[in-house]
Amino acid sequence: MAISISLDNVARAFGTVKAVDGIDLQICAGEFFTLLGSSGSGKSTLLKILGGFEKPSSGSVKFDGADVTGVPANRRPCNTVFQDLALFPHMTVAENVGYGLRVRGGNRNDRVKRVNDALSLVDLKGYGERTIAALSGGQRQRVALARALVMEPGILLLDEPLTGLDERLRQQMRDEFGRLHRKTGATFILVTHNQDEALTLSDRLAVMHNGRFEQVGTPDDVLNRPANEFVARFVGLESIVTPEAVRLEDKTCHATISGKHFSFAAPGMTAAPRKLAIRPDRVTLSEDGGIPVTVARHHFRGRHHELVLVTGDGTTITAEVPSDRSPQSLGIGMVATAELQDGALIPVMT
Amino acid sequence: MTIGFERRDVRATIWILTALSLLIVYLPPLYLVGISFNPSLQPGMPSLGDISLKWYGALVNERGLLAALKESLLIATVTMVVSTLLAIFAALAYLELGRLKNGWFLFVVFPMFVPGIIQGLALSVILNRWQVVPFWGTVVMGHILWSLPFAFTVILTSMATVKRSYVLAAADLGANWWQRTTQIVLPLITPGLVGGAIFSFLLSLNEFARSSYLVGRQNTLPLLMFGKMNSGATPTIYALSGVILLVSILAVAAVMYLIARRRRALAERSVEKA
Repeated sequence: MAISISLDNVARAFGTVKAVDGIDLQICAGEFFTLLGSSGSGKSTLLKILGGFEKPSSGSVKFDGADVTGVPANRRPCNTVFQDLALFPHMTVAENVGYGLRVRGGNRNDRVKRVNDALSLVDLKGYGERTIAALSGGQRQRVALARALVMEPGILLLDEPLTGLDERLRQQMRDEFGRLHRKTGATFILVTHNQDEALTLSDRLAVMHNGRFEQVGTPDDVLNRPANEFVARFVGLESIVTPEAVRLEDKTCHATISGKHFSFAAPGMTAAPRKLAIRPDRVTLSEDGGIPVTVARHHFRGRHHELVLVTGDGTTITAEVPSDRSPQSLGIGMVATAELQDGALIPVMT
Repeated sequence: MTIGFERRDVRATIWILTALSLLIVYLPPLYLVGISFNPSLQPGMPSLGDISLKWYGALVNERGLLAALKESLLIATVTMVVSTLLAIFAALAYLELGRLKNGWFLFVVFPMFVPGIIQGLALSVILNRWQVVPFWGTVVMGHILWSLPFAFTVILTSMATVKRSYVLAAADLGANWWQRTTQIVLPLITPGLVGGAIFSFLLSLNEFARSSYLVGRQNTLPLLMFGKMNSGATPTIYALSGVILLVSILAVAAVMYLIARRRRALAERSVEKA
């Protein structure tokens, strides 16, 4: 059964450093919730507090309304997939997966059956007798997942589980998490520094920085309505401009950037934003008609060219131009104009 | 860029140095074994025709020597068991301690640096004051002080293979402290435990300085042999040395064989279905 989580003013300090600085959060039962942040943001400490490996300096943690702040890890109804997986090297795959059931006790045949079920769940049927050393990185990942899932936890904690996998495996396992979440129905909490993982998997996510939440919301909220500049940059919106003039009129936002006028629909917006982020994939180059710019830097990124453009007043705009355009025409120092297509402007509230 | 190991002259030098070191280490004890087969009273290598087991036969009648050997084996066994157990707990404590780690390490390892004659004297003075009559147990006390730091260091080294996340993962899966220790930590440090135990046993068997202060009526083997050498050596001592050397070599060979077999079994198990 999925379990809901409620954090009330949770803080954890190491000496004078506040790793987690007064967090309030409600997570619904069965939700896929992601803590997104760079290293040192406090996201791992918060996960450890949820798992019971770390005691908060103050505040309380509740599972389904019951206070578990003082309950140690081995008596919490949640299981963890650790960053380094922490598979026991002296046990076979089946012994690893069955360890939690062995500790819990109970019928041996039933335990064997459940271990086999868990192994099939992660596509490792028949791998039970192998040693951990004989597995590939992706298989180990699955064993760690099976070891946690076999306990049928109400909450599954995932501590940067995809770090260190190659890109293809990463995407495979990412989809696997989504599938297992739908299949088990448990509350999943993922900690990651990778925005793609966070945006594709989560029902909701929290962007964490210096022990605090910068924004909590759905992927759509975070991507299209970033709460502040930090969040915007974190989800890949590097070009943030301060328009010369902004006003809100009839649910439409009008802005002037480098002398050009732009407008976009802004339903639900109550005040004009101070700053605007520009989505790089919505910027196109043309001979004239847009904002006059000079190409300052040029990087080839495989599927697209990334261009850093500088406007007359020194503002930089990043543009992604499809790589079918010949590179010769994108030389540094080239003068062009940047046109902003529909959806290019994203309001940044503070 | 080469380091030079593939050069013929460098390799030859390395081989010669290796052979020389092995000779220096192993020749004297081998010579001892050699003269133990000489039936004459004067020590010297026997000629091939003279080889005899005379002194080995005489060993059986050396009641004093055998009693000392028995005493030493008893002391070494008790020292081994107690030191290893204490070292396990000391190492587990080290694993759990935070900032006090380094202090704890120094505290446990310190007796290693106290000269044996001083430690033995100090202990015997205190035991005397408490009116404890010296017996094999008092020797064991001195030997534990001597062997514990070594067993602790050996076990601590193997503790490095126990990642903190293993213990956390076991806790996450519901294991309490006792289950985490017996099911995760101890199996992983088994090689260290075996090493620590062998180390303690041998250190105790060899120990002289502490024993000389703490010994009761029955001498330990090193004390007895030293005494015998002073009062003119009998060749039975050479025979006993031969036996001890042979048993040690066999014991080490047995342990290595067992470890190799276990490693092979593990490797086979992992290849089986791959």
